[in-house]
Amino acid sequence: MKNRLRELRKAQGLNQADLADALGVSRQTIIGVEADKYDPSLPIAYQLAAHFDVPVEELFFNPWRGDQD
Amino acid sequence: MRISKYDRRQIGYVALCAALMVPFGLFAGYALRTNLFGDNVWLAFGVLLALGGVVWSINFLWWRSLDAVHQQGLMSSWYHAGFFGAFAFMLWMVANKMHKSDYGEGAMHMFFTQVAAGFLMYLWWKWRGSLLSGGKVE
Repeated sequence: MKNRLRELRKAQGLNQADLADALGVSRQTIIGVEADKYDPSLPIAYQLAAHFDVPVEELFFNPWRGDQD
Repeated sequence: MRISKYDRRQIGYVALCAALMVPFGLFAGYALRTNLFGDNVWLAFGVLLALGGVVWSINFLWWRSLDAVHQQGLMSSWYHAGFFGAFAFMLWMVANKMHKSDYGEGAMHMFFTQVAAGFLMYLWWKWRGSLLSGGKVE
């Protein structure tokens, strides 16, 4: 699922390991989600959205809605 | 190299599992060598299963500590690569006419036990799913 995770992470000056540590997840999870190799579970998606203080749909693009990227 | 909190937790569980597995293995070896349970197969199996279950329970704690994407990666690797590896090895045994040997039969038993246990778990998952919906399609 395409997302803005890398952009938001970099805007906060975090590297992938920092973000993984802050969320208590593996670094591979952050790498996989950023690279669109893994779709995160809902709890991780919401956890990420809460961390960046954005709605989930601002972080993950909904491919079934035509009005988004 | 930096080790994250997440990785430290995984290392802790692996260390704990190894710390329990070694004395368990030593005990099982001792029991076998000294014929501790005599000819009572069910007693031997029950005791080893109970002690092994304690070690195995660490596995559940470790699994619950993994994040969902990590679990997905492990499950996918275990299911697809693990089963294909076992399947390929079975074919290798058949090609080498080893499948009738004690070694081959042991390997077959292990493989089919694993398949049967996986199938039972899958049935439980299906049954639990219909139980959660009250058996109704809403």
